Amino acid sequence: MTQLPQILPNAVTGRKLLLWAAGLSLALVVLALLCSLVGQYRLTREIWLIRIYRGAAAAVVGVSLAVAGLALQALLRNPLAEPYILGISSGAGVGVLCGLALATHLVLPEWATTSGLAMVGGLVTAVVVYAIAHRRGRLDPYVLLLAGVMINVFNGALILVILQFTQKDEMIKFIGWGMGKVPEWIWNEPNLLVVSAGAVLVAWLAIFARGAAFNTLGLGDAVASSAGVSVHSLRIQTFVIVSLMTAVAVSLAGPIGFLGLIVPHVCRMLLGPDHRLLVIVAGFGGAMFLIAADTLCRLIHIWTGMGELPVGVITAMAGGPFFIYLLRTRRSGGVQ
Amino acid sequence: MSELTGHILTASNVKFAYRTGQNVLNGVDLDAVAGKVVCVLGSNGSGKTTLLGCLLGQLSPSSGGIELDGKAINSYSPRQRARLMAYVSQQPGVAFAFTAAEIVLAGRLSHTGVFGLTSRQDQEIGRAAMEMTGTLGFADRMLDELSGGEAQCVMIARALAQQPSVMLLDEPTSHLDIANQLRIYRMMRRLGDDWGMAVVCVSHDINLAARFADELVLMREGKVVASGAVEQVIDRDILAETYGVEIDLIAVPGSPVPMVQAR
Amino acid sequence: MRQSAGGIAVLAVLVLSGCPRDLPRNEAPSPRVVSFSPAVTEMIFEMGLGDHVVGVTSYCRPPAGVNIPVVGNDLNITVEPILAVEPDILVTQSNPKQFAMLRRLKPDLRIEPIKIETLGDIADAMSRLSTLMGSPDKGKSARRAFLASLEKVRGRVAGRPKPRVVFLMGHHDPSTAGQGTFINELIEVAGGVNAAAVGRKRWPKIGIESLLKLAPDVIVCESEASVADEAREYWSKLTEPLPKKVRIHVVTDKRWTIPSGRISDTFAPMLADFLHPETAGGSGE
Repeated sequence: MTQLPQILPNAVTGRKLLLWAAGLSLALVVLALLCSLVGQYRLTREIWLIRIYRGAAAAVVGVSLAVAGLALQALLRNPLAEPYILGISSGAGVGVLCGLALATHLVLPEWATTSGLAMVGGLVTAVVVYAIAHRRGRLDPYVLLLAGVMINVFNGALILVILQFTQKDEMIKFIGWGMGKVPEWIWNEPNLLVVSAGAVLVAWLAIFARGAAFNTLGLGDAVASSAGVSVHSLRIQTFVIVSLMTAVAVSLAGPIGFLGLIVPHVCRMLLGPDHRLLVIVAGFGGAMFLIAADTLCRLIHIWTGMGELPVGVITAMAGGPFFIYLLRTRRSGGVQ
Repeated sequence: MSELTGHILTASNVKFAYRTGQNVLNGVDLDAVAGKVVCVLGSNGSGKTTLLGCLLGQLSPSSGGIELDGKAINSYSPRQRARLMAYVSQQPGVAFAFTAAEIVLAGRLSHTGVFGLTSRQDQEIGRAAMEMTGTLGFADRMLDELSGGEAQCVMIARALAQQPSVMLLDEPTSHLDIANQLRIYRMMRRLGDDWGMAVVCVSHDINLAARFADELVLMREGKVVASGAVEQVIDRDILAETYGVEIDLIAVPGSPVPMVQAR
Repeated sequence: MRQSAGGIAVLAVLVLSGCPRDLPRNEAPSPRVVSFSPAVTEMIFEMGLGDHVVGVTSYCRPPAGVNIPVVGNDLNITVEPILAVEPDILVTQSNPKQFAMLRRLKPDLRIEPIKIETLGDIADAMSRLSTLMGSPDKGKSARRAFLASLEKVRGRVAGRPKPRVVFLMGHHDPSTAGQGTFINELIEVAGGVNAAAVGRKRWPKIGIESLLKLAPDVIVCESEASVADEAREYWSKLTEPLPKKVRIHVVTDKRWTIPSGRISDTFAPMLADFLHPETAGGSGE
């Protein structure tokens, strides 16, 4: 009798995950250090620190958006889900624009910086979406999606209204914010960076702990529940964690698009759909992708002399074609 | 192997109504015993699926009780419940491109630690489940590449990986050909005989159910018309009352149970 | 029955509110002017010709207490509010072709495009506007005063070494004044060199490293009053490790970047004080 394999093929074990995590951490650090050498000013300790801080902020934002996108795709069983469908980026926009419009008339409180307002706007919107979708102790994924879309539209209209009361300078500032940019000024606010990074790391770990449950959720609510997944509380908890992560990302860098959609998909196509592994890989992938994109923005600025492109342009232009290439050459390990 | 014996899952006078007031179950009793296969049959709309939902603890009955291993079903967390009871749905399907092996291992969720990582033991249990269901041969193939019968066997393996004491199946063969139907029912029989599980299967095929089950529960409009040993329940009048149609019983050589045919 | 009665009532209100009403005619001397540019509004009022203004944009800031109807803005041109104030002249900094529809409805309306980007433009605008409104003398004297103030400042700082200056707007994602702007010229008048006058964009964004590469001696940052201290601290910290000491000045008056007479009589001397503090005080007002 032939020797049957004693364990099932390609199973995800703790050791495999640790190896991936360690390898990717190393890759992230190497990439961050390499990118910190890119710039037009000569490298002094202070300049290097400014670049490292910027890279760290890019990493934090990259992790948040990628992991939030992955969790939402799992939660809603929808391949088009990305962090902004819950309305958080448009809500943050409303917050920021309110601040800009009011700043010319009153003195705003100390917390009401662009980041603070974005955070508040994003979280308020998340609460509203939650309230709409929450019925009888559960979050219906279909209603959640619709509520997010509706709130996005509503926020968009609200922004148009507020723009009527905004000075042209403030309008231009708002448009600049809306394109998304890794915060160059973060070196001066290390506390903000540390708090954001801490929150994102905790959230990342919490999503990782739910990875196996996300896998099982793919079998359908009834089967998943019978297999031991608390489906309804999983949905609610994931919603809260994802909202927080996305709000942190948008408060630091404004709405950077495509990353939360593309990175999880690419990882899924390359490594299969097991969320325990994907959460780790997508997180590091998002961080490295954004650091690289941000560095590319700096490089383009140095080479062409035109102003620094908003990093969202690079994430779309680089991420999009690569994604299409993968779609066409590999068998899709994506969501069916 | 099942560790529990005796009456593992019981439903007592379960009534269920939707919030709109529509009554679906009007006092249903059911007893799932270790080692025995119980098939629930009835006309469409008789409340079979709702009963299953209540037995799984996913629907809350308006009155009456469901007990799993002597304790009220809603006193269990989903994780605790999953270690005693497993469920196979009508249609095998998964939203992501998992392989058969990955799906089977997903059944170990209720046994794994905080991060849901499978140990060597988990994998061996998964392998044994796949061996039992004859699915080991396509362990690394995607579920959508498999035929209906093969996919359903994978789902049963997944349920087995939970190491439950009671197995609930919802019309597991409704989309399968006769060979695969036979295969699934034979498997259910083995689960009862060899593995000592209590099996509750909502069935749409009275003949297969009669052939392989120990007990039948016939339902009509939310009530149990008759329940008991197969020989007692396969009766022309009882069946006519259940399905609302005239019944012929045709003797089958070599089988104690006649074939049922609607006239 | 009750629902349809309510519906009819709402409909009635909507229809009636759309009917033309007799607006109280704003008794303004001829020519009646609509200003489609905050800078133009500023200049008209400075010259004391504000009575002629019958309509402004939502971005304009007429002096406190003066109530002028807002007739739109150049991003969104709607004809009815403009026609309702019965203007004779409309002055704009943007493309006059945008007002084509307006001209068709009121062919005798004069659309006057005006360019206000350099200091010279400001001076010319003053005479042109006053001529349009029938008081060319006011414009002449305003223009003379404007140019005279500039000359005074030039004289004050003549012959002195010119520091490298960068004028920034905001501290978190700052823009700067490039070539072809009046700020650029203002810096020169005040005895400095605009280090950021590279490239073609007039108000480009500037990153930290680009800024440091410009090696400025003086940074003037226009900031929101509530974050002025924060801005000052930010730029100080950034420039601290540099070999050359950089002087930081934070200004909170938004009118630094609105072209008007104030540029020469208030801000030019202020800037000269920043760049050449050793000349301050002696010249007086």
